[in-house]
Amino acid sequence: MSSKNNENYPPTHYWDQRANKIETRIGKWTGGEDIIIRDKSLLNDLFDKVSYMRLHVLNITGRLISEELGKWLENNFMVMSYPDSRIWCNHIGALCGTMGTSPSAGTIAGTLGADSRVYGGAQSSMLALQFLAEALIDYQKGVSVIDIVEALPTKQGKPAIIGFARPINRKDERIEPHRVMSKRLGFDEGEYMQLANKVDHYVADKYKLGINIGGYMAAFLLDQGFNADESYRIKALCVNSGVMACYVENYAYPENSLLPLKCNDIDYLGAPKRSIKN
Amino acid sequence: MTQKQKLDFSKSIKSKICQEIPSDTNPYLANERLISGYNIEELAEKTTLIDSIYLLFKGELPNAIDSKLLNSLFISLINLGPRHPATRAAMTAGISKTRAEHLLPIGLMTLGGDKGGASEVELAYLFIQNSLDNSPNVLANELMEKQTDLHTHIAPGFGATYGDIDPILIRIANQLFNIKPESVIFKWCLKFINEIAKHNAGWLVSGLAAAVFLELKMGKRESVGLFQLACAPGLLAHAMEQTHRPITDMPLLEDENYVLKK
Repeated sequence: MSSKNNENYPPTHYWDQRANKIETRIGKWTGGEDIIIRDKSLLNDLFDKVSYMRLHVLNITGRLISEELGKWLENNFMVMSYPDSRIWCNHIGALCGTMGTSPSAGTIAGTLGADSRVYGGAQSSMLALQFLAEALIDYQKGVSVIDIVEALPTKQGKPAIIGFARPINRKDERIEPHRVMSKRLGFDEGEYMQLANKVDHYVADKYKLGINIGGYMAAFLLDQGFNADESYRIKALCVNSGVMACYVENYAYPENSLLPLKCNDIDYLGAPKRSIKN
Repeated sequence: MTQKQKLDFSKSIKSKICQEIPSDTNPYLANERLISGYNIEELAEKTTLIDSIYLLFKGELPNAIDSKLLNSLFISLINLGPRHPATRAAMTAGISKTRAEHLLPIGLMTLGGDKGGASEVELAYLFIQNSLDNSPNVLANELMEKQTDLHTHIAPGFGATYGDIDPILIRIANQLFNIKPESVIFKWCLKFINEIAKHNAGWLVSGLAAAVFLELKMGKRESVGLFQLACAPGLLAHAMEQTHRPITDMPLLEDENYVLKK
């Protein structure tokens, strides 16, 4: 029911229809028999036949992707989750370890931390997909790469271009291995990747920025027919492994063992000591 | 890390909120904890919870009117009801024996969404803030013209609830606005609400919270978290109640009511 004025039904018709009933196209468990996922039998069509990554994408998008694309994504997940406890999401996982938090909460807390517009590969790659999707429309209309980039808002004198910078300003070591992998698995560079390469060259020359893994992945996934929302959903948990690694190490230590801070290590910038006036 | 440019991040954490004075013998041990300069023990003795929450976010204790306004909002949001999706998520976790410490985060994470949840509070805050120079009547009619779907909020924080105007929120808004009747923000909102009411739309909880947080000059991002904080007690109480019931004491649809469509 989409109309706001449908006189054939009572105002609560939409909700009345849905009470005490779920209609789904996603999946159904029939206890003792089978589980259906997107029209496929989990036990007969998928189990022991497809990789976990392909099943993951099937659940989220309804697409049973090729073995090669499944492999590409799985390899991509490998480099989205470094077990370095300085990285923000992993630092949260490590702190959860020091607190003796449950492993589920530690994973989720760290993973939630990576739901960030500046890093993490889920929200950030969604934003990169949005940028590249819109940029290609402009580019195909004849707008130059220079004009596309220069029209973006700036931050510290550089274009704020998601997917083409990193919070830590170093070359992204993951790009070249991804280019090699893409070629080995038989993926040609599509129109989004070709545009991303042009943007990369321009911002590298002019601003010393460069494509990062979010930007690269955004172009690749767009070329593979995924949209921004699908990318966000597929990648939502992509940092969990590194988070858990850092959790595990710190769980073994006594509380307050991770980067202990003395009281005066915090730079207090607020009001001086005072009393409440009666 | 050899031959690498230094990361060059800050060497310390900075905060205006809290100062901890170390003990004389152990620099890690705090002997005194001050919130914006006030000793936390003095706050516990002389102020209310709501005033201390205000202090954390604003750096000063509130005047009597703002204290009453924030307190009334927090009580109004203390229980979104057992049918609210966030409450139901927390209750579902409670009855399915999820670890107790996860119940509140589960409710709060569910509450975070932009369809009536905490994310919408920020959007509503911006909508009201950016609309104050516009005629509420003209704007309301322009927005209503564009709205074609029963489920779409006509603006962030404003719309229909189950196809109708939420009567509780109308009364709560009046109660809150009477605390500060001279507020330009509240006056604008009331005019806007009166206009959209002609089209069977009214307050959403996100919009009402946003109006109050904007009036109190809380930040838009702070408003997201403060909304969650205000709603937290009800989520937690409902979830905890369910932990004491058997897992079978909440409906799980029979197969015939769970229909797989081709």
